[in-house]
Amino acid sequence: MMEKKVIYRSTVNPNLNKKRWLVNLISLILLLALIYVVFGASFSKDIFKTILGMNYRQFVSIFISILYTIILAVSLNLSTGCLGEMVLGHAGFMAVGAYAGSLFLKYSGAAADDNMATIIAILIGFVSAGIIGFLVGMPVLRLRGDYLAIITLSFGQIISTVIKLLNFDGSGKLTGIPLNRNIMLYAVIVIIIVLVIFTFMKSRHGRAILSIREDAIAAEASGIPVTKYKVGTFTFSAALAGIAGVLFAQNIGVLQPVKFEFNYSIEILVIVVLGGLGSFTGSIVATIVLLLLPEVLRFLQDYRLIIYSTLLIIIMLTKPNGLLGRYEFSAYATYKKMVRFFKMFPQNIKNLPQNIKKLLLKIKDFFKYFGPNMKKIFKKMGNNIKTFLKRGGASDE
Amino acid sequence: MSNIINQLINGIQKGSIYALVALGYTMVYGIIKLINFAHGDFIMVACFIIYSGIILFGLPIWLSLILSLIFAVLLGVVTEKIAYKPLRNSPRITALITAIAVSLLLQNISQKIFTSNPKIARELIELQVYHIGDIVINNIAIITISVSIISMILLAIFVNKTRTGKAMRAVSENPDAARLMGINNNKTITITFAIGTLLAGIAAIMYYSYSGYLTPTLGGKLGLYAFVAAVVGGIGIIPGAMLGGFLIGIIEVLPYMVGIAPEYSDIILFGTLILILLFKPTGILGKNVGEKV
Repeated sequence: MMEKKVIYRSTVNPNLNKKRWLVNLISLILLLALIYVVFGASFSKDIFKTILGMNYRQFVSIFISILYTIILAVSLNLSTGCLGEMVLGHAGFMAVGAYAGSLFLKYSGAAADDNMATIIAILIGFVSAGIIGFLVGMPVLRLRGDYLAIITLSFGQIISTVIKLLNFDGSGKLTGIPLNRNIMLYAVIVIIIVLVIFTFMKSRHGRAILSIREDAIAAEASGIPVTKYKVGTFTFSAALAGIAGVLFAQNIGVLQPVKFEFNYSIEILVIVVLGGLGSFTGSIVATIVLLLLPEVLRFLQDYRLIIYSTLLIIIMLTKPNGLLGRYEFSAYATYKKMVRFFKMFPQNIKNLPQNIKKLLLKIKDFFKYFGPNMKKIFKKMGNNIKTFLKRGGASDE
Repeated sequence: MSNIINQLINGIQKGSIYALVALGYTMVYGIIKLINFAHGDFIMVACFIIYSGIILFGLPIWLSLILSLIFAVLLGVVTEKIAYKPLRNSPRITALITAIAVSLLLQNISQKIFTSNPKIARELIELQVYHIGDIVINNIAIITISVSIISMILLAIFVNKTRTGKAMRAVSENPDAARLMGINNNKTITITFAIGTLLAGIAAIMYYSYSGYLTPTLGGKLGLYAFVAAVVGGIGIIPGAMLGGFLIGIIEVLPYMVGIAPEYSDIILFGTLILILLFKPTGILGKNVGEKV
């Protein structure tokens, strides 16, 4: 037997890294330009109003909700997907950030659309949620598995109840927060956060976190300070949720503690698991899909939530590891694929008639086989379905 | 003083409902290590079946109670077969999300059928109030508490004395070894679900006569509190669920006893949970299992 030849590519090749940087930079600029053209530019308003017949304001609001949910999903994925600890109180940390940032915005007398004030509020939200996350994480991360999930759930509930008892504008409500719906600013913030998390997970610290998820005892034996990494990741994840809270507050202008209860934490967890635990690309895609799905399904009226939850069950049954598993999008790999495609393009064109002929032959073969065996195939299919129903699933033992 | 005792009775009545619900959580968790978030919604469905039986279709009360119990058990078993069984070998968090999705589905279906306006539940039996000095107690409270205690004793006898109960304990201890001993794991798990939802059905009857009105989201809070009860007592342990249930019921009425805002009950409740878990991570009656390498 012939051995497969494996070529180990050096990752320190300076030319390769330079090229990778360039490709990533260009794709980032393209992404920002796309967002600017769709939302930021003055003419996009008219496009929405006149051509698409859509309410521009409503669309901006939905887009901002997608942006802050991306932050929430990605940060929860950091602690649940990468660190492997199930956290059910993420919305609580978001509430801390939201209230801290909004109290600053309200009582510092910041005007609406004041970008500087927004940035300061985001920093305040980041730090305050981080502090609470650290205080919660220190004792809690001693526990493991389901108990950790339950205790984070309790902390989330306690945070929202404490806010209710603090009684800002009547049972925890906070009104009159200056609005700021600057999409470009938020897009840049989200991109920075995603980039930081991406590079962080590719660094040695990221690998240490992944090793804790795979086997904490083995990681500790290999000299990784497990507790330090656990608390650090948990704190960072909580702090990022605080940023999402500030964005949420500036988009809506009113805060209510009910929003940050258990149900919302679950909603974020559903996004993360649906996208694939440990895949940030998956989290982003799932956020966009899950937030747009209710809008798209609007024509179904009352049935849309029933269909939504049925879809969720079906997806989880057919794809237990999430939509994307652990796949990550890479601009460089896509670029290389495209380059290869264009290089092969002339040859492909040349081979086109031949390929079509091959395809036609295949179709002919298929029908030749399918025609006489149709009854057999349907019978087999029926049997398969029957056994599936009987055993209650394909993956049973 | 009489107020405190009256509230205590109220708390025990609530607690006995929580205990029955917590038993369902604990049994399912003990056997397949799944936090069944849809458990509270099984109770909601059972409540609405009693409601539609008595008020919409005008059936006799006993018939609609039996129908609701049968339907609850069927719902539990079918959910297990369709939604949880295919995921038994997948990551546990996937099964958890599926349970949440089932819960959402049940809530949305009943929201579609019954709308979100609260439905008024009439009493199942005539309310009689007894006065013993300053203490007030009604017959529904007495029946609720005694039925719950009787069903717990029956359950304990079933689990500890019968062959099926032995099989259940064996599967929860070690499913592979249990299979080697000739136990049918799938059948045992189905029976566990059936018993868990039967208890949920009984809890639904009690909730129906206790609360007075029904909404499609009633399972959420009930389920969460019962789940906390199961964890406080030690999840997977049957006497622990009973203990936790009564404890949570009493904690919930604690603010009324002392005379502070009812919002504090959530803080006391979850604070107790946190303290218990921090000092005894496996619950009050749980045994500490050492770390295995």
